[in-house]
Amino acid sequence: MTADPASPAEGNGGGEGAGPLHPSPTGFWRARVFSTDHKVIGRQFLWLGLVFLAVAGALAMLIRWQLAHPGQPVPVVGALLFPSTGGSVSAAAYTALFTMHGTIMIFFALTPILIGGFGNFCLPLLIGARDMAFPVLNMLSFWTMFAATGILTASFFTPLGPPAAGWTAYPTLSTAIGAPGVAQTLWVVAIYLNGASSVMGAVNYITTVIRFRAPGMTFFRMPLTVWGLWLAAILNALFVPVLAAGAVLLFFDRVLGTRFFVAGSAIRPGGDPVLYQHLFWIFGHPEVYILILPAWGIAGDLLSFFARKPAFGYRVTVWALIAIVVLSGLVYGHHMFVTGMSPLLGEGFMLLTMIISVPSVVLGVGWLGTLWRGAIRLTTPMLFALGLVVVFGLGGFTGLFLADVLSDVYLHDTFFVVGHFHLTMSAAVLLGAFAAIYFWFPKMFGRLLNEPLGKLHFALTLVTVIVTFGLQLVIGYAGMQRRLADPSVYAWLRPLMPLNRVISTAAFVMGAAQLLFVANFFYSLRWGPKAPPNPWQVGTLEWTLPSPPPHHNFDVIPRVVVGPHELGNPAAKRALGRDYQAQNEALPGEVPRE
Amino acid sequence: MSDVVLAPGAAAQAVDARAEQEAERGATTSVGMIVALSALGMTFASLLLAYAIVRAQSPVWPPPGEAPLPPLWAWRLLGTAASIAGSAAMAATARRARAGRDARKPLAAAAGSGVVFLAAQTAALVALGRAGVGPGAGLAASVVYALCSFHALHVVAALLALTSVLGSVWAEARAGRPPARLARVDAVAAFWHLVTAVWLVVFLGVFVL
Repeated sequence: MTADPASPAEGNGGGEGAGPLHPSPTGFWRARVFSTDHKVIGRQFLWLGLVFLAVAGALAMLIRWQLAHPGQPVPVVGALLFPSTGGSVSAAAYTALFTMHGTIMIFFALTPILIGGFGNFCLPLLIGARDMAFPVLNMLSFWTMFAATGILTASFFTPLGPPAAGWTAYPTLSTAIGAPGVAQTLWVVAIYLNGASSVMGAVNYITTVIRFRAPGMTFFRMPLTVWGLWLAAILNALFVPVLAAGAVLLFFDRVLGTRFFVAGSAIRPGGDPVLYQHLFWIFGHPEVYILILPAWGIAGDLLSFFARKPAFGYRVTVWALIAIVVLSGLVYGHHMFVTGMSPLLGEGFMLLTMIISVPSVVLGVGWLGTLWRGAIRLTTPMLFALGLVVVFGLGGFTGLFLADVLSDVYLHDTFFVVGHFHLTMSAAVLLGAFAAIYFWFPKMFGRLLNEPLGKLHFALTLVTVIVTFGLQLVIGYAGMQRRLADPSVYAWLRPLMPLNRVISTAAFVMGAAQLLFVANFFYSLRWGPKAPPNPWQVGTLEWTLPSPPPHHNFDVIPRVVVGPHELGNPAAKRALGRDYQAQNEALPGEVPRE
Repeated sequence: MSDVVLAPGAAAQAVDARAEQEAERGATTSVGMIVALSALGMTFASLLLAYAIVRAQSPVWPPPGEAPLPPLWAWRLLGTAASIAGSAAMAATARRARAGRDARKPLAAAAGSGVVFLAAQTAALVALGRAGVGPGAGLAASVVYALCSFHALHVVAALLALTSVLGSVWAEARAGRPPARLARVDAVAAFWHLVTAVWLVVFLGVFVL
C-alpha cells in the first residue's frame, strides 16, 4: 500500500513530509465558497468584516451628522433613508443608528476581520501547521457568522424599524415591552449565532496551537500575534457563552413571555433587569480584551520587525498578556458602579481594575523598549502599529478615571465613556487591523499594496481618530450625555455644539480617508506589483512560503530553531549576509536547540 | 490499491503508522472536545447563576404572589433515570469500543434513554401547561421552562452527535471488525456526560431544593 497524497493526514503528526490535512479542492464551490482551507476561510472572514466595517462606518457618519446638525436633512442620502422626516434623523432613527453601529462594529466588523480573518489566515502559517485542527468546523464557523450577518441585516427591514436598545441591549429597553416587533428578536438570534461562530473558532484556535505547532515551535518561540490570538480564543471560549446565556434568557423573555429581565410590580412578580447587565458585562469586559489582544500581539511583532531588533522583554510581555487575560475576567463590575452595587463590592472591582493597568503598562514598556535604538523602518504596517500604541495609550489612561468609583459616577453615561472605549477597543483595534492588512496583504493576495497611499491613509486616520475621540472625552467631561438624539435642546449643552461640529468634521474626514484604503485595496488586488515571498524581510514561518502560500502551506513541516524576532543579530548578519534569520534557519555551525 | 502487495515488515509498519495516526487524531479530538465542553459548561453555569441570583433575591421560592408549581415527580424522576441510564450506556459504549468489542447494544440503549428523557421532559412541560402554568406565569415557571427546554435542545444535539458514530459502530460490528473512530465515540460520550451532569444540577437545584 502506498501513501495516498490526497488522503487526510492528521495535522502535523503525519510526519514531516506528510500529505495535506484535507484534499485539495477541485471545483469552484469547494475551493472558493465551502472551502475548509484556513486561508480561504480567513479571506472570507476578512471580506465579510470589511463589508460590515463600511456599513458601520456609514452609520457613524449619520450619527455624527445628527450630532453636528440636529434636525437638518442629511445631504444626498437623507431623503432616501429617512423619507418620513424629510431626510432628517428622528430620535427613533438616531437610537437605531447607534445601536446598529455599535453592534455591527464590535460583533460583525472588528471580530471577523482580526479574529476570523487574520486568526484563520495567520495562525497555522505562523506555527508551521498545514491547517486548523478541525477544518470542517472552521468552515461552519464562517457560515454560522454569515447566517448571523444575514439575520442582523434583515432586522433593518422590519415593520417597526431596526433594533434600538443599544449595542448592550439592556432590558427593559430590549424586552418585548421596550422593543416590540421582531427586530430585537432577530438581534438576539444574530448575537447568539455570532457567539456560536466565535466559540467554534476558539475551539479550533486553542486546539491548533496546543496540538499542531511545528517541531521546535515551543510556546516561547511563538510570535506575539499567535499569543494574542490564542489568548483571545481562550477568553472567547470561556466568556462568549455567558453572553449566549443572557441572549437565551432574553430570547425566552421576548418570545415565550418568561420574566427573567422584566421587573416585578406590586401586582405581578417579576425578575431583575440588572441581572442581564451582570451576564452582559461578565462577557463584555473580557470582550474588550478579545478584540485588543490580537491587535496587541500584531503590534508587538511589527514593532520588532520594523525596528529590526528583537522584541524587548518578549517573555515578560507574554506573561503580562496572560495576567491581563486572568484579570479581565475579574473586573466587569466597573461597568455597573451606578447600579446600586454594594460599596465594598465596588471597591473590590475598582482595585482589580486598577491592577490591570500594571500588566498593561508592562506591555507599553516592552513596546518602547523595542523601539529604543532600533533601525526603524517606517513602513505602512509599522506606522499603523505605532498609531495603535499612541491611541491605545490615550484610551488606556482615560480608563483609569472610569475605573475609579468616584470619577466614574460623574462620568458614567457621558461622552467621556464613548471617547474612552472608542480609543481603546475601536480605534486601537482598527489601527491594529489596518496594520495586519497592510502587513499580510502580500501573503494573502500575492500583491503589494501602494505604500505612499497607505501612509497618507495612516496620517489622515490617526489625526482624525485623535481629534474625534479626544474631543469626545472633552465634551463628556463637560457633561454631555451619550445617546442624546439632539443635545442642542438642553441649554447647558448648547455651548458644546461647536465642539460637536468639529468632532463631526473630523469624523467625516476619517470616513473619507478610508476611501483611500478602499481604492488602494482594490487597485492593488488587481494591478499591484507581484509580492515576493518575503517583502518585509522578517523571519516568521509564513514568510518562508510563496505569496500566496500553496494549499497545504508547507511541503515539509518546518523544524523551528529560533524565536520569531531574530533581527539585527551580528552573528546572523555575518553568516547569512542579512539582518534577519528565519525561525527554521539554523546558522552554520550552530547546534539547534529544541 | 488492492493489487499492491506489502512485505510483512512493511505491513506491520503501516499498521503502526495507522495506530499512531489514530492516537494523534484522538488526542486532537480530546483537546477540542475539552474546549468545546468548557464553553458549553460556561453557558449552563451562566444560566444556573442567573437562576441562583433570582432565587437568592426572593425572600421565598416561588416568589411572593406565585403559586407553587405542580412537582410532576413521575415525569421528573423518569427523565432523571433516563438521563443517568443514557450516560451509563455511553460510558459502556466507549469502554467496549476501546476494548475492541461490539458496542451496538449500549449505544442503542443510550439512544433509547435519550428519547425517553425527551419524552418525559415534553410530557412534563405539557402537563405544566395543562395545569395553567405557562412560561409567563412567574419567575419560577420561567426558570422551569427556560432551563428544561434549553437543556432538552442539548439532549437533541447529543442524540444527533450519537448518530455520527452509530453508522460506523454498526458497520464495523457487522463486518466483524473492532469499532473504529474511537476518539469520536469518546467525544460523544463526554458530551452525554456533561448534558447528564447539567440535568442533575437542574433537577436538584430547581425541583428538589
